[in-house]
Amino acid sequence: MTLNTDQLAILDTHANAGDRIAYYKALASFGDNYGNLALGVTLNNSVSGAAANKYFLDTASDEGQIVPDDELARVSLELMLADNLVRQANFGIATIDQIQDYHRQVFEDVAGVSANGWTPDYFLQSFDNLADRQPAWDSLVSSEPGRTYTHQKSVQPEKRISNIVGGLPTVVFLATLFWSAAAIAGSPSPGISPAPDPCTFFSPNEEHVDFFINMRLEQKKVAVSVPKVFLEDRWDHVNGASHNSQLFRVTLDTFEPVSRVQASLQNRNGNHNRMTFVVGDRVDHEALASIVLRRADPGTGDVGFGNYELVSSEYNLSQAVLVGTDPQRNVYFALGENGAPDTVVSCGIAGKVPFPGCDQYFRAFGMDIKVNYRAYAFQNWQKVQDDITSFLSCAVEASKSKDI
Amino acid sequence: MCALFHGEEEMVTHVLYMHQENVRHELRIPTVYFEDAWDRVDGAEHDAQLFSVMIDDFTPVYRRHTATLKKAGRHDYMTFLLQDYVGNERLTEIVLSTATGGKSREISEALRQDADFDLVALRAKEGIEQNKDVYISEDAAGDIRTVFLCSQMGDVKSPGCSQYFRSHAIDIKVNYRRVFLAQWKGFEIDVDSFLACALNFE
Repeated sequence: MTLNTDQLAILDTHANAGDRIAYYKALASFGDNYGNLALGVTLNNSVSGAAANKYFLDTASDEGQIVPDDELARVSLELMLADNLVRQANFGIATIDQIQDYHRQVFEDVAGVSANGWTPDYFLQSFDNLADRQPAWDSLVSSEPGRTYTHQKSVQPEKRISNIVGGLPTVVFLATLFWSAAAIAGSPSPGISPAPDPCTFFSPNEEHVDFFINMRLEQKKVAVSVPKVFLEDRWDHVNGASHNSQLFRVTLDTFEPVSRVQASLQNRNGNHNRMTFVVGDRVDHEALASIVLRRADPGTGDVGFGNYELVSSEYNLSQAVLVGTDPQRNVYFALGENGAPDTVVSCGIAGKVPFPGCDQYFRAFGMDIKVNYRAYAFQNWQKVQDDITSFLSCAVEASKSKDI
Repeated sequence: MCALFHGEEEMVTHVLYMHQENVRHELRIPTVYFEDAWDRVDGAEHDAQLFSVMIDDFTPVYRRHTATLKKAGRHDYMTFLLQDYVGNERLTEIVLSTATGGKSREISEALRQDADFDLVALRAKEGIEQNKDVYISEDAAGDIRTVFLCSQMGDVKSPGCSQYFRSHAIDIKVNYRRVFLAQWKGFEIDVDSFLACALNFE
């Protein structure tokens, strides 16, 4: 919401006087509920405010910083000044990103505390998109003294608060570092060598996350239990959550998890020994085949899978004979007994794109899978499919032993 | 700055809506720059967008990384925010006011002093306390191109600077530790290059 000139002048007066309570009360009275949240933090008299202060001090302690009371008061003062600056320069609006930005800045400037110290990050990061994040934020900032958060998606509010107050991030990062050392050391592997076991991590000693794949088109849910080491982000660590899709990134040869940071570092080393796969819900394979063909064979209209001639190709696949004049991708199928495409593979064409890759679609254990890898691994498409199927088999079996 | 824009990196397309100017910019950015799920949603419209990167190679820095870097005594990372704010003249007045508790606002009334790194320091008149430093950089025509608000050395634990400028018709705010102020021109070039890659895609 925008504020008018008079309202901005009132905020400016309070900010310049160093009167945090008057500033945030005025902000709230103008209809911006962020004033309520910040007032609760300033007065330490709301659940969210007290949690924010405790979390900030816990983070500081974790990072070896002592924040005496006068410094905490300075943090609070500088946050108000920063908020006022943003609003004066932005017609009264302070977006979530702007608020996050100045918190990071003030925490670091005044107290030497990292970006980990801002509580709402650990609440908001569990939301998948802006449509979920905004009401969560609105609910958060509407928490009046004595009230607690009310917005929930898939996790109970009590659990969110306990997540907020907990001090896990450093541990998570250290775990990521250990990951990195193992995965980055791997060198490019032109083929897929020795038999990997995608179920290696499904041991009782590994921490698992139990969740559901929500198959929206089919209106069902598939329960899975996946070793936490495959799930990089905190929002994926929530037991009992439902996901419309779930992304995994693993090495091609050993089926070990690869984080985003590792993937970037691998790229720099010319290492592309990995694949990503998304488990979710898609249209049936005949419709999917037509969509893939339309992308591969532009300008030909909606010819449809059934109207394409298929010829025998390498690696036990059939290849579609494209009819257009400007083919963009090669499209292959593994056909079932009834002639329907059980597997669809679409690969970029060398020379058309700098780094051709392949998208492979198949179905396993009632879930639809899309996997992506560099084209050099295409010859191992069956192995890729078998490995992922084994992985999902273990994930489904593991969930059956639990009541989720 | 554009190393991660190439190859097989996953990319996400955002729309940055600048409400004051009522314009939209479409940006295509490697997903690895975003640590939050909502930022990885294709086609989402944002009214501001925050990035955190290492100063030397522009690789992304996640929140959890900042704690580890700090423990290692490293501060060579920065954040930059794409947003929409008032013009630089008005912004300078706001920054001056922030630095002086509202006691000095007019640019014309501030004392100008040449400062390090080709910057001009704006000082409040004698008798007015100023607890933050304000700098500007002007172009040949005398228009303010870049505005700085810096914590003073010794005043806080880890003094930092905010640097405001405009690149590719987008308002930018960069934050970093003050010890890196000497590199301010490089930061503008880097962010400009990054945005060029994000904006100019096929």
